[in-house]
Parts: sequence; structure tokens; C-alpha cells
Amino acid sequence: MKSLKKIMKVVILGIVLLAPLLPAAVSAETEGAPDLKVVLKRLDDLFRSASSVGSMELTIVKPRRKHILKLKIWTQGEDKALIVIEAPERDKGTSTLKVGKNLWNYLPKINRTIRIPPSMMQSSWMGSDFTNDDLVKESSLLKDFDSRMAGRSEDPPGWKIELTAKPGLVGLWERIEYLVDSEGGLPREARFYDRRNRLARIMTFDEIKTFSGRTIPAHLTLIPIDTDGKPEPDTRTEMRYLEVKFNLPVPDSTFSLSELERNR
Amino acid sequence: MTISFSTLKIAWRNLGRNRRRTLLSVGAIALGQFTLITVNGLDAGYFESMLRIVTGPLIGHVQVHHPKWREEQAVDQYLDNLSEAEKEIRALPNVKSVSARVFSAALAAPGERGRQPAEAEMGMVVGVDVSAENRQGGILASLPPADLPGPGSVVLGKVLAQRLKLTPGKTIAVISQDTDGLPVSNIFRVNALIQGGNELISRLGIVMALKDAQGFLALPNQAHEIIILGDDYRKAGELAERVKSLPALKNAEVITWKEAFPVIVRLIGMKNWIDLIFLVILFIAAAAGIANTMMMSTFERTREFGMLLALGTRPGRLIRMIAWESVILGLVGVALGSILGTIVVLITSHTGIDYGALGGIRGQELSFQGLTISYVVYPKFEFHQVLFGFGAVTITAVLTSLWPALLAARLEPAEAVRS
Repeated sequence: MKSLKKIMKVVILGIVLLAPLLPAAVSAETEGAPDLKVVLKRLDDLFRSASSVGSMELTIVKPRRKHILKLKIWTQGEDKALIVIEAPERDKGTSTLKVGKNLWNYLPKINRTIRIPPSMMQSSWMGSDFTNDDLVKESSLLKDFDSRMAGRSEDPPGWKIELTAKPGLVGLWERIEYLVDSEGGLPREARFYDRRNRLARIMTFDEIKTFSGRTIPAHLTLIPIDTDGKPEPDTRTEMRYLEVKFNLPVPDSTFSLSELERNR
Repeated sequence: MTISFSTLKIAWRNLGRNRRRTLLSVGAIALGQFTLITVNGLDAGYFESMLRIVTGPLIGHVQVHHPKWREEQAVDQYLDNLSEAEKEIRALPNVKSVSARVFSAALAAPGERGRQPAEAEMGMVVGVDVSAENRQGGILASLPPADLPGPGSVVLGKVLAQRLKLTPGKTIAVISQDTDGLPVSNIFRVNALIQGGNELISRLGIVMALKDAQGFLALPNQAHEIIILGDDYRKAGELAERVKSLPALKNAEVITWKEAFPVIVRLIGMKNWIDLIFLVILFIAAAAGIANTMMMSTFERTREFGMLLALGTRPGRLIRMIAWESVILGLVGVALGSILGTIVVLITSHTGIDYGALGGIRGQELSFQGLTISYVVYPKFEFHQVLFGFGAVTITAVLTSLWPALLAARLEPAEAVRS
């Protein structure tokens, strides 16, 4: 409570100090905009839950071919996750366990579990455009970034939010632009800028669906951007939630090394 | 100018009048020439051994890759239709050997199943043409046939093996990615540990036979790198041009060893500068030694020169005499230095000089730009260095003698005799 008051003080002070500097146009542009903090909180919590069990289709598109994986995913909070590949046959049983900052891969072919060393964190996860680090890192838009409502966005229509990494934050992204729908409820697109302030990836969100009472974009597309600022040709990773159940009990033992290797 | 034997003889005798001074000058010049020959010989040997490595089977004379390979080294940046490409390259004139390699970043862990999941280390699967790499200078050089990688077995880089605490006879679990980026995994037997002539191999190398690696990584009839050795590395450019025009490689990037290892080209350029620097040092040593000796001996002999002039010696002959003294001084010095330098270079070119031992380092090799180079250097005798030395000293000798000689020639006999 005390810290909240403190933050409020700072916020109010900021508004008082900065208000005269803001041109009238900006305030007109952001008129009717949803409350920034509420939006960010919603974005942060969109896929978060005490626990979840879901299945997902992961489509990895590369210039030469396309690959579709079927995944089963168990999560507990932000900390624990188990991902098992169920199809295709060749990769069936290959699984990844995340506990905190640790990541293990189980390879059924050689019946071995291997911890991913820190040096491989920036490598691709299962050939997708996601890195191992994407699975492990925990970041909060609300806590880790300074945010600003930048105005209306045209394509897709909605609101544009600019997020800048707080000083001292260790992470890949210097800046994120979030486009949210007009009600400020759901994300439409996010653009990630790296530490050199170059656009590095774009994530789009669509196919709004409701799973166990929660409305989320069921289809997420990650488009990596080349160093020349253009999307890499024919390269993207699509995630499509087929089924998710939120907040149902998942036993702790699911997220153990022995479970990782069990019956696969 | 006609060479007068008597002038020469007098000049030689004059040098003997102050033996110690003459010997000191001769010594300085000899030391200069000795340094020139030995240092440049050492450099030449060092650079030659580097050039031999760079143009050997490790890097080859010409390399072929996917156009983006050198920048990104992604598994899916491979050359297609390897057998056809190899056939076409072999049909070219002056091609000695063609071999292919595949690479893929990998995770490696001890193959023995422990109670805890193994800590993985980063490695690199390197699929090689075993017989081509088993030659001198190749990745698998100096491995006995029984230790060469075969079906289901690999050879590990020493540093990687140390990190994984693996020794020959044990097994290694290797997890890599196929061209789709999906994990592939297998367990291999470790045959031997190698240095590989290359830091990358030593640090990360999980070296397997090309066929095995192609099967493991799902790269049938594909490779990331083709290494071509021609008859002569100096003709790599022409060979590269011919390779570029092959239909099977029309979208590939073809480079020569110079492009694959540009540092070596710069180093060779640097060697010319080093040679020049020592030549300049020799010039200075010779100039200082000769000038000093000649000036002193000329001033000492003012009376004598006056007398000679008074007796009717022509100034020209006086100039020639002094010039000869100077040239003889220089040539004796340079000859002495050349003989000593040549002997030292020739002997050490057989025995080699262990730089490491000189610097108190126990290791056998040092790493330069990722290449492993032996600390033992075999100097190379270069005759042109001797000639350069002779030329430099002769020119310096003539030039530095001119001033004292002209002074002497212009003396007023009457005044000079009285001084």
C-alpha cells in the first residue's frame, strides 16, 4: 500500500510537471484512450494463470519448407512449464521442462535428458523463431517498461502503446510498440526493437477465442525481422491454441525430471 | 673508373693501420647483416609454415559455400547435389583433391546415463571426408587408421573432451538440429581426441565421417563446404574462376584461400615491411660504422694526404683510395655477417627453433586466428636477403666515403703538410 502511494505521488508529480509541456494535439489524440495501466496489466495477465493445460499447433515456416508440430503444454504460474511434442511421429515425445531459469530437453531417441547450457539460450527452440530464452524469461510490461499511450493506430485500428525498457533492465528489448484493439482489451500486434533500437521481430495476434471463460487471441504469429529491417522472406512461426484449460489443478510432480522422461 | 690494383692494395693496407677501429666497424656491419639474414630467415620460415597451413587441406586453395554460409553458418545453408558438384570439380584441370564438410552446432553430453541429467556443453558436429582429412595438415592428420571416425564413432576436440571429461572408448550423446531446425540426437563412441590444427575443432569439434554426419543431420548428398586443392596455391584465383563457371555450382559462393583467410595476405604484406625495416637498420649500422671510421682515418691523415698531393698524386686517385677503403670495410663486414647468418639459418632450418621453449612455454602450439601453429619455427634461407645486404652496404660505403674523400682531394698540399 505504501509503495502504491509512493508511485501515485510520483505519477501525480510527473503529470503536474509535464502537463504544460504536452502539446494539445497529443492529448486530443489520446482522448478516449483506455487506461494505460489497466491495459498493460491485462496484456501481462493475458496468458497467465495459476495453472493451465493446453494443446497447441506450432507451425514453423522456412523458405524451403513448412513444419507443423502438435504440442501439449502444462504450466504452473510463470515458473514452471512442460512442453511435449505429440506429432509428427518422428519428433514425438521430445519434451522441454522449464523450472525457473532452468531448461531441460528430453530426447526419446537416445533416452537422455540434457540441460540447456546458458550459452545456448539464444538458440532456436525446436527450429522455431522462438529462442530457448523466450521460454525462460519472465518479463512484465507493467514493471519492466516505461509506457506511454502514443495515440490511435490505423492498421490494425486501435491504440498504440510505446514501451521503453527501464534503465538497468537486462533484456533483449529496448523498446516495444503494442497495438491493442479499440477497447484496449486484446493485443493485435507487437513490434520488438532490440538494444540497438532496430526492429527485430513482429508478433501478431488474431483469431479471438474463448477458452474456459477467458478470451484470448488463439493465433499468434512471430515474424523475425532481418538486420536490413525487412521481414525475413517466408520465415515465421505460428502458434495456434487448440484447447486450453485455465486454473485447473496440475500436480507439482508434473514439472519434475522423472516426469519429463516418463512413458515417452 | 678503372680499378687500379695498387690503389686497392694501398686501401687495404690503410685499413690495417688501426686494426681495432677497423674491426669494430667490420663487426658492426657484420652484426647488421647477420641480424638481417637471421631475422628475415626466421620470419620467412614462420610465414611459410603459416602459408603451408592456410593453403593446406584445412583451408584448401578454393572453397565453395552457400552464398550466405560464411555470414550466418545456418544448417539449412547447404550446397545441393554434392556428388554432381564434386564430379564436375574433379574433371577440371589442375585439381588435386576435392573434399566436402558439413557443420552443425550441437549440444554434447557424456553418453553414460548418470543419476542426474548431464550438463551439456556446446559443440559442433563436423562431418568430413575421412581420407582427405587424414593427410598432413588435415583435420584428422596424424591419426592412426584404427582411430579414424567410422559408422557410429567420432573423434573429439581435446578441449571439448576435457570439458565433458571424456576419454577414448567412452560414449557421447550428441544433440543437434536438422535442416528444419528440429532436434536430432544420437549416441556415438569416442575413438580419439584431436587438436585438429584448428581452434574450432579443438574447442568444439565432434568430428564424424561425412556419410554419418549427413545421415545424422538429414543432409543427404549435401554439404556446407567444399575444399578444393589444386596443384599450386598461387593459381587459386584461376582455379576459382573455373569452379565458378560449373553448372552444378551456379548459385554457390566460390572463394580462394586469400578470401577465406585474408589475415594471411596482410601478414605477407607485413613481412615485406619487416624485411625493409631490417634493411634500413643495416643501412644505418653500416653508415654509422663506415662514416665514423672513414672520417677519423681521413682527418688523422691530413698531413699524409698533403704529402701525397705534393708529390703529384692526382686528387681523383685519392678519392678512389678512400672510397675503396670504405667499400672494402663494408664488404668484409657484410661478407662476415652473411657467412655467419647463412650458417645459423641453414643449421636452424634443419633443427628448428622452439619459440615456446625460449619463452618458457611448455605447450607445443599457439593459436593464431583460430589456426593452430607450431611453436617450432624452421627458418628459411633467402638468398636475396644476402644480396640486398651486399647492395645496401656497398651503396652506403660509397656514399659515406664521399665526403671525407672530397675533403681530402680538395686539400691545399702546402697547408695540409704544415697542419
